[in-house]
Amino acid sequence: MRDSVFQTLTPMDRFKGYCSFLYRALQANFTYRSSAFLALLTSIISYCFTILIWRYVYAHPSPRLTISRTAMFVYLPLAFCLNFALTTNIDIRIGQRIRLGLIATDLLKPLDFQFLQMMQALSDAFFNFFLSLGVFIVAVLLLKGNLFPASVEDFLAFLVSVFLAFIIQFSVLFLFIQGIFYTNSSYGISASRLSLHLTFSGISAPLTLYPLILRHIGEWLPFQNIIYVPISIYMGKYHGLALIAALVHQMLWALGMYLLGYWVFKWTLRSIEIQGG
Amino acid sequence: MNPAIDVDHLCKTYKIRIKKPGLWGSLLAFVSSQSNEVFAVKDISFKINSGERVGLIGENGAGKSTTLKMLTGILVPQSGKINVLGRIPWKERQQLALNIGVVFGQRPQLLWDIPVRETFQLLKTMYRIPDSTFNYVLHEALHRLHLEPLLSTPVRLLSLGQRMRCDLAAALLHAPSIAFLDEPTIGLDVSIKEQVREFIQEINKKFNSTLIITTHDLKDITQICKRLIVLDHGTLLFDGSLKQFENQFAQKKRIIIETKAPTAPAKIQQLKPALAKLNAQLLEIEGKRLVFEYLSAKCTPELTKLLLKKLPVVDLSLEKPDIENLVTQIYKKKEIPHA
Amino acid sequence: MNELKIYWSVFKSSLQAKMEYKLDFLIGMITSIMLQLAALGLLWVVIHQSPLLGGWTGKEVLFLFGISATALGTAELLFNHIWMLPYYIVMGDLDRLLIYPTPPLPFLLISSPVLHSFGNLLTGMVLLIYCLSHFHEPWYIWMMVPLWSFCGTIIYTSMLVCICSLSFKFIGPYTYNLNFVHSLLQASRYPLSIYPNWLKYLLLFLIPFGAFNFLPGNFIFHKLFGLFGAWIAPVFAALSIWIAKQLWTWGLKNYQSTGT
Repeated sequence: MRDSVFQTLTPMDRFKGYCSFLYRALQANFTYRSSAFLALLTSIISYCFTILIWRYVYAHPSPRLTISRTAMFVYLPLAFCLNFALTTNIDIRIGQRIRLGLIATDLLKPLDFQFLQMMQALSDAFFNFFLSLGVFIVAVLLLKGNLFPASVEDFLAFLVSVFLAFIIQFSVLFLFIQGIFYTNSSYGISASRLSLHLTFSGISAPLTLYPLILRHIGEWLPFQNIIYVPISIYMGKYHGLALIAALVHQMLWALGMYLLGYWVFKWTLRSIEIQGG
Repeated sequence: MNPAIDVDHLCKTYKIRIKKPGLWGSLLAFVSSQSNEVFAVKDISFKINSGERVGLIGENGAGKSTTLKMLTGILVPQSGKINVLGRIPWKERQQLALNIGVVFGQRPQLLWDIPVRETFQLLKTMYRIPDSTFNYVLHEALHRLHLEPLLSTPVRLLSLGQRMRCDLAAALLHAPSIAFLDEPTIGLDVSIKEQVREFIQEINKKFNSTLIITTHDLKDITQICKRLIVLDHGTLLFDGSLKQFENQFAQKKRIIIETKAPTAPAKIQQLKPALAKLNAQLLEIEGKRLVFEYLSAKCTPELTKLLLKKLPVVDLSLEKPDIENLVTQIYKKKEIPHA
Repeated sequence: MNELKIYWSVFKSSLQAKMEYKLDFLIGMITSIMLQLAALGLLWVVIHQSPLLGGWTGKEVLFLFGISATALGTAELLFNHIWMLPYYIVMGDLDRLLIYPTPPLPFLLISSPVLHSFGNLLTGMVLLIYCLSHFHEPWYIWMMVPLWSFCGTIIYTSMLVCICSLSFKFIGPYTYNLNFVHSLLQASRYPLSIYPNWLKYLLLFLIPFGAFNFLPGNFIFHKLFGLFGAWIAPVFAALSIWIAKQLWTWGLKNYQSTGT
């Protein structure tokens, strides 16, 4: 017996809804794996050039080179793998749905759009994570780097940090993809994010090697929290309070970026409605 | 005179990759390529003279599109011969393309970013269309398909119906000797379908072009075509005029009568021998309504006489299945084998 | 002649259509410059740690970056639509190119120029001008640079066509295959002498990006290979067009006999 015409979702219903969505997304990902292997292969190849360049540098170093070879060849494979694990197709997915006008049906679902998309991204990341884990082990062994984290605590902190990095990365993607409501240039949207990511996340080299100005700018952007900070934790660069401070810092970025995405999306939807698009 | 299209024992098979389900399956498919050969078109022969208007029908997967693609030179046949306007399509595709027009209803052909007007101008250069032809067809298209307001719109902003009309105009712009129209009216409103058909007929009348139309909407065929080719699972099921098609498949006719009161089963039993003599049978009984089916038109008077005499008839009508019904019947028959 | 007219008018009208989106153009251009700058940032970091890269100073490496950027810029500006070919195959849209009385490949290549890649061209030009004037290069080098760059455009596009044609048959239509070519072009921005031998020879002979980049650079800065280094680019360009055409014909034949 229903006592009201309107049905409301209990938190439990919502939770079940999100879970079933996540399960479906995982299932769908399983079916399209062969293309993911190809994606992994091509990213490995293109990252190989970065590694080869650094290999040359370590064969002909200048006295200025302070980072040890073993450290560098943990950093680079880890940066690659972390980046690959966090590379979700979420921006392409959302972009396509917006362009095809499917976004309307998504918004009709009684679940939060942003959170659903994060579940989708989580399922992407989940697979990429295991794929890249194998790559990491092989790469570090090949490059004679140091495979193991500095300590067990560091490793646990690293896992937390990666999860936060995932939220930050997702929120950045979610923010940028909304640009598609305002311009047709999907290239501009994805490439501008990519260029910032390449410059400020520390994907191709530890940020300590970058010019000071860039590092100062980077402090004000979320990108270093995606790659550089988690890896530094893995490699035991932070101790005690500094470690906690780094995690809290990341947490604030994650929360801030997620909420920013939420508000901007709300605002975007309203302005779109007014335009009648 | 040589026929415009001459198809001789045409065959085409597709390779279908066997893929086992699941992750392991996709992995296996990635390294090995086991495949099954499936006939898309199997030993088809027909000739079409210039100026003929032919409808090509069949269910999904019957081989219509494959046949069309081979006729236009997009696909290479496995075996058999094709000759279109004296050329072998897949060998001389580009020369042939100058003389044929093609519409693939489900896909837009026009360039995505360019306004329709520019595309038409481009086609004029591409096909070296003389001014008189260009102006005539364009005028007809603007007039009959109401393209005027669409001319300055980029193709990607057009709706499906608008794009289809533009596609059709583009395909007929050079007054091709043969026009291949694959589903030219798919997804269109009834009124627009009508406009499209009129436009096709007009161009056909003016330039006496050969028309090959594949469609799921049989009205396209009954209105435009004189001849029908039915494909089924890659084989030729029927080739002849619409009239012949009706005669061959529409031999069964129906008499539907309505009686004053529901007919008793015993009475029907009594009727049976007489009906059998006339090759007729009771098909349906539904309260006061009775439907009889019989084979040949010759029996109509006698059967009517019989029914009028034996039953309290208040209303009587004769029904001849139309083409649409016939085609669905043909398809259905395959699915349900005779008992 | 008629065909050239057709290609020109396709190109012109697509260009006009793209011009209407000024904001998109602006954003795209700025971001392509930003991507180039990100790559230069890494170069700065690397040079800082190892001042001579395979015998090249940082400013000499800028020449390689410049040529690559202009070659890429021109290629995307003119022939970028090849990147859509995998989608064409998946969607069965290649058919629609085959019903026209023109060869499908040039038609495909030019039918959607990417305007914002002008940003790449611009960055490349600035780098080249800076580099050449810094080293006080003689006038004939300035004259040769556009030639090398355009050869680069041709070789890069040809390689994309080659990979596409091969993927008709072997791998399946994925854009990933093309990304591979793109990252090789990125790799050729560093002196090939820093790479292990297999990659060096790959980039010199098989996918000859070194021919318009590394070899001319050696000719200018290190007087290596002499005139051979200066003139090898057009030879490789002609050769790669020829190979690309053969492979394309072969790939198309495969497509036509298997269908979709």
